[in-house]
Amino acid sequence: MTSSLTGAAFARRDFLKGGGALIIGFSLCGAVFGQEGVDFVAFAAGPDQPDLKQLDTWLAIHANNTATIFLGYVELGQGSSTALLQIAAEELDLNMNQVKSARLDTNWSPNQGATAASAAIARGGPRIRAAAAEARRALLTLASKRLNAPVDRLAVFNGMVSVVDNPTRTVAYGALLGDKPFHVPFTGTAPLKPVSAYKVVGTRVPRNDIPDKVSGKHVYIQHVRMAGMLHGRVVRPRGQSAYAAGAKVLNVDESSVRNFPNARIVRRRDFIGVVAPNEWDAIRA
Amino acid sequence: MAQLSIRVNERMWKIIATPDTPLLYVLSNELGLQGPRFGCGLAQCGSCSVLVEGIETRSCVTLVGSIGSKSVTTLEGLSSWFARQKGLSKVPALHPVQQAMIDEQALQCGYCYNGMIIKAAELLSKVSQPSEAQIRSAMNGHLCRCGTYPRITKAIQRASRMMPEVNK
Repeated sequence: MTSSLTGAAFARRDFLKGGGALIIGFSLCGAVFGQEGVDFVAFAAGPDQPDLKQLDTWLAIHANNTATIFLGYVELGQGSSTALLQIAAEELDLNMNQVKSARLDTNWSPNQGATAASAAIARGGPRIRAAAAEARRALLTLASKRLNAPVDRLAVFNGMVSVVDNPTRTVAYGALLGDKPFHVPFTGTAPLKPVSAYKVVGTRVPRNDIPDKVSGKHVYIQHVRMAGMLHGRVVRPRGQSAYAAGAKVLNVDESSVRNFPNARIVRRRDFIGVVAPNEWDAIRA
Repeated sequence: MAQLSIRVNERMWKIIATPDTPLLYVLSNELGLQGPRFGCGLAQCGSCSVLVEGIETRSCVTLVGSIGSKSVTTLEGLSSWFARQKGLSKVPALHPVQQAMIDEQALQCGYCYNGMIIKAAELLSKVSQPSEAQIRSAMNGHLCRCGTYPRITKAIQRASRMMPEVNK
């Protein structure tokens, strides 16, 4: 149960570890296509996940006249986290400096299924667009009361609502709702802005994930550190085939890791791994 | 396990590690740095690259015990290293190569860009105006699975055009 740094078995082990998440994502493609529906909320939320049929699940308006958009797709370098914000900004009549996305977390991100099949824009885009349009409609309803003017006589520029017939009368999104929830159901029925009126979508916007990536601030999954976390390595016998043609464990020589007092062997049926607080200990063990 | 001292980004760090620990694990686990990243573990891809005394070095196969008193620079310390090298009074927020990668919108996932930026910075420290052939030759040992090589080349050319200005 030892492995040299340059051994081929070691390299394959780590290669698979690094690529695992991507492989899983693609394996879900079939399920994603199967669930695609005509409504804007195509996925069921889990018991502890935000309700996809509530507008507050999709975005929040802050007192400083900015918006947070809750995306359900992972930014993998495809630029979707920027493009989806463009779509939201467009429908809300905000500029790109007024929108940001929240870090993905199953506690607050809408479950939009796997990020796969180049579908973040194709499937996520229409939902974000509909949610942003619905938010704009709700905000204009509030503004109509505040400004005492019918909704169809209101105009919005950079999150500032004004009365068409008297542009000096204005109210900001942030003043209407600042950091309070909409408490409005997400119906997907709000009218969408015509493409001919687009100002943000269709323009070149710098990707929002790049600055952190070139400066070393971006947290890749390899950087995640949990309290009390152990590092692990899977033991793969030489000659083992991939996928379901696993080797049978005959015996495990537990004494082979005795030189690493903090290392422990993990065995589940024919799966064997080694864990240790120190990553290099786990690798050597 | 032994106590070792290493100089990383112009700061001395005391760490507990066996001398045969690859430098990469010390940088990411003990020092918490996020620039150098595990890619292949075999010095084949370059995503773990750091500068050791200004020379691009694969930290995944460099034993921490072999560093001794040499100065290690990671992506996090690259702009300070650049400022020292060029005698700049103020440390820029980013090395010109980093800025050029943003300006060219070069990267996709960005995982390999630690090595791309480190290697390009090393190249420009030796040859401030490299030809495309020199860029291709220098970057030959760095792999990008997103396939962004044309933009990397353009970004390095852009950074090289920024070099004379900062040399003044």
